[in-house]
Amino acid sequence: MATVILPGTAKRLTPDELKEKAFWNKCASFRKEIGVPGFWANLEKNCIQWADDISVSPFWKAVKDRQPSWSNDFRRLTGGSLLARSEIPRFVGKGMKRVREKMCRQFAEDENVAIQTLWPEKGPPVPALNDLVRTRIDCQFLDGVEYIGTVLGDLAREMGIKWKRTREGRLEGYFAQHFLFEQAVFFRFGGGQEPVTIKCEVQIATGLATQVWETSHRIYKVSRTRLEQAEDWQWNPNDPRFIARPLGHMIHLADGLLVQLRDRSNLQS
Amino acid sequence: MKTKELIQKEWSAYENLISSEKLEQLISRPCEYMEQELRAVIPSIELATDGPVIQSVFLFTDDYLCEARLAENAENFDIGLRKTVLNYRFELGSHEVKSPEPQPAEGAEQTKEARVIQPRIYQTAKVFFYHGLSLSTSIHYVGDGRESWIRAVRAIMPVEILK
Repeated sequence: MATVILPGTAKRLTPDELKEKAFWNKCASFRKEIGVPGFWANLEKNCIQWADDISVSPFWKAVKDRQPSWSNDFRRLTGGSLLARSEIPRFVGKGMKRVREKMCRQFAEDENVAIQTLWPEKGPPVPALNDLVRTRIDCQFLDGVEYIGTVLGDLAREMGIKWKRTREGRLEGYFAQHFLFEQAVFFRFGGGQEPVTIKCEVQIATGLATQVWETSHRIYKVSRTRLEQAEDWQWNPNDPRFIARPLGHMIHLADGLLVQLRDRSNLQS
Repeated sequence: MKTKELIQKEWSAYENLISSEKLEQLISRPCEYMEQELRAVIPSIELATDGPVIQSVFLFTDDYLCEARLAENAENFDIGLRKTVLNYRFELGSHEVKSPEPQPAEGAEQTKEARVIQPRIYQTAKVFFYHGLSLSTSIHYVGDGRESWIRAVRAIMPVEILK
């Protein structure tokens, strides 16, 4: 791969790194705050604080209050448990390494992407990402994922919160529903603060799907800044992704079979 | 006391698990079949992976006790004589549920001290009524308000029922 030596440095940059550098220069010329030393560390602190704030927000408190009733409803409907764990989890903030990687990946997918879709023109310089704060709800059964997505939507509607739900089924073997909702928070910097609305992501998946996805990520840390082609791994049985990605599909199938098995067993008993 | 009034009076502690409107709907047929005024409604609560769930509801009249198992698309209940208890057994205890370790921010250094998450401790109770050598009824409790639940059981099924 061709490399370039920047003037005044001994560092060799790959074409990907050069593109990345150009991207950040473009961002910094759009929002000058991005180039200010300490910007990313401050943004990370804000994300951690927002995760704490949203974990105790009225919406999330209402989710925690309603969970026992949802679990009981689901059991009456299906005979099975709704959640794989005993409590609704807290939110976590996204680390800046991941934020930067994700933004670079979005740029790699479309180098002509309008910078305004990644950063706001006005207001606090907070990246326009869906998952600056996120949490994951593990369900016991596949139809629990659909159920949780629905009741979260109903509750958000009842509380007048803007939300969106997506059902993700990716070639990479990722199966989950994403529930996005908006929350007003404060962007803190120096001694001041400014209100800003961020999107929060609730990932909803089965416990099995979560385990497979997280484990496969640990064995193969794919570059999140470059686009991945399925051909890279689909025909190479020695690539760890050759096992991990189809395993995600197999687990999705197994999750579906478990629902059928549960329902048949209910019928027989 | 009418069923609706009784539920309103006795169900407030369990409203977060099943609403009284829903309960009224679920127990309407067993109440109709018993043809007696309801004296008490007590849930049988068990611990699932996601916390306490009501598996069935016990309905008591002057003469009968009925277990109505809760399912949305089926009605499943049985009725027995209330005063045929030969042996009364209590099993009281507690159950600890450990919460998962708190996650650090994704892709971030752990900048905050790890939160200490206390395990959740539930009070538990199992009450068995033996009606004979082979027939028994068991009613369970998992939660934080065991004493009031046991008080309700003892009020409608006092130990003197064995006399």
